[in-house]
Amino acid sequence: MKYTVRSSVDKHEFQLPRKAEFTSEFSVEMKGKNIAVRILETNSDGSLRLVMVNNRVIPVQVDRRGDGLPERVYLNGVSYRVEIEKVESTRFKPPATVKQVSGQVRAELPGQITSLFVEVGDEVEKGQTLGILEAMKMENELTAPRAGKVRQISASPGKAVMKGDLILELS
Amino acid sequence: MFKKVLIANRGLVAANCVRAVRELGACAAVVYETSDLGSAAVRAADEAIEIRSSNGSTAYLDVNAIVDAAVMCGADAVHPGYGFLAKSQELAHLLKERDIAFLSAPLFPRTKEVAQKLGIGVLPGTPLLRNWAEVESSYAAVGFPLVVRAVASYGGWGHRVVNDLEELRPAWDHVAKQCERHGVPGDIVLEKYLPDAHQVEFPVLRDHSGRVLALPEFETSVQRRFQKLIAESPAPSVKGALRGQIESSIPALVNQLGLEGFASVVFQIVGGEAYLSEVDGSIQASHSVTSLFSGVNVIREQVRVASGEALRIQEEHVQRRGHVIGAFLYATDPYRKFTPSPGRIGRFHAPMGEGIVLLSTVAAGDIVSPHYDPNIATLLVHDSTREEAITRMRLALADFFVDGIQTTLPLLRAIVDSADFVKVEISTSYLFSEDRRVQLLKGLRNEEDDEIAALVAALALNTDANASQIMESAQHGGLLWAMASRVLNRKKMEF
Repeated sequence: MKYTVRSSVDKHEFQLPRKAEFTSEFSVEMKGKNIAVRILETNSDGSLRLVMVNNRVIPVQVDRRGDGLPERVYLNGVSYRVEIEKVESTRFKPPATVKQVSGQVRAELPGQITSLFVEVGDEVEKGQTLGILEAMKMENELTAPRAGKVRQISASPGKAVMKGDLILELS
Repeated sequence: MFKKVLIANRGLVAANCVRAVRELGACAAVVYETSDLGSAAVRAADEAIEIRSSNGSTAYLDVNAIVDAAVMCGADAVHPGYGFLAKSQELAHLLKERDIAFLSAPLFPRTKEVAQKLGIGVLPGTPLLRNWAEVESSYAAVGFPLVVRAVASYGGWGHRVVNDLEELRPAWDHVAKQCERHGVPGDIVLEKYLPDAHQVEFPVLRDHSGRVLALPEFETSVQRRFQKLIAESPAPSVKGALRGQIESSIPALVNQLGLEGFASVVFQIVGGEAYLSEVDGSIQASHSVTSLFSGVNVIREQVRVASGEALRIQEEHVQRRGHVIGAFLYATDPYRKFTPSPGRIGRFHAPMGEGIVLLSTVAAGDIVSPHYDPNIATLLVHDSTREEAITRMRLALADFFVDGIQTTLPLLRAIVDSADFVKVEISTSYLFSEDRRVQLLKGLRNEEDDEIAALVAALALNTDANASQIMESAQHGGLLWAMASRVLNRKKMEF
């Protein structure tokens, strides 16, 4: 199967063995070079855990998007952005990237809202700091996921929030 | 020696305090909240006392709960470790009333005045300020940029850099509110901010008879918004005659301040000149660097001296062994602006070997709580020279792998790899800008690994179909269909 994967700096095209022939040890051709790959360990859910590439052992982690496609790969803790652009086949196409960014700002971790810098009706820009969530004695900026108008504020300074709680919503 | 010391902290510092107390032959009791029942400090202690919070915040900071625990277990001393409690005047006062020793030196409000009289350069700043009116009348003498700092500040908490008058009020309000929220006194000072300064600290012990022992200094210039990331000893920024000058000024200073116990004298160094910024009377995580470098167990000697015993260690017992570097791992994600990353630790592969010391109380499978300090480990390396210690640290950090949670490991690697670190060109403001953080992290990537990452991403998708039910449907409808349906199923499950 031919894969096209885009990283933050380059576009990579290569063939992986078909599933039927898949073994934990194989060779992949990339830009004219042969790369020797072995899968050494997987997690209990089958996800990759330890691979050997050209005789180098690398612990790996793969973060996925909501639709299940890998979006970030950590090689020994170092993060690489990836996007699977194409898998060559007549029957399978990766779902199109969701372009609609939600206007909901939720608590990414449990903590306490210590400040909010906006009010209902304020126009905000993408990336603007909307407030501060304190957790682990650290301050975390709440930033606008996109431009918009503040439609609703569900939290107030001093309030404890759990992971996933809605803090405010942009229209 | 004390009969029983109550350790009022958690995590690594509590475990270190428990051991130091037990090494001295005293009984070590420790307080704990339920979630820490199985922790290293609780396991190592002779006695563990549960504390519960009365106000919804953590009981570890509840001064009354600590005092009650000390009285109940019959402790004759309380060791607060480091952090808010160590700087709590209220706790110091309540313990004194009950004739229980408090193993943290008091604040020394007259430090700068005394230092100046002794001819020691001091960082321009104000005395303790308690309200906005006092701030308004004193900021001009300090000048911008300045730092609004809570006297109880530690570990990146309780500081704000202010560049102009407009930023002053919000910064003051912010720090005052932080103090209020954590129940620490709202004693705040304004200090000159020197962005190009290097930070160097000189630990010192003084016993009841007035004998003083200065320990080797360590440098903590590598910080991110006042949270220390790397400490090393000896301090590479202290060159030539400066070390001797500073060291010889310290005994007179601590004598006049009346220190009994342990403290660190903190200097900002810029342009070859040292400016005293504070005398910090509590132990810190960075003191593990001093212990390894000098051979003096700082916590143990602190407890010994505080118990009224005379200093046993002589100048000639204090070693200066090669070079020691310490790197602090926090459960925060450097790829996401240092967002805290609590959760369950997956793999925890720590480097081991000659000249490598790992101080940590966590292991694979442990949960890092969102409610406490994010420091999960301190990695120390020891070697003959700074250059060799840097190489050793570089390799040790490359071997260190933690997943399940995100940690400061990638950033530590990038810093130790940088030419700026090697050349001692990292000042305390180095990591203030987000651009610098992003640049450092980018520097860890390379072309070859970019290819491997792409390969791993495809492989992850490919091997996903390995699950048995997928294999089954793969036989019927073909693999690609199976992969697509798997992806769709996942999507359904998550939304």
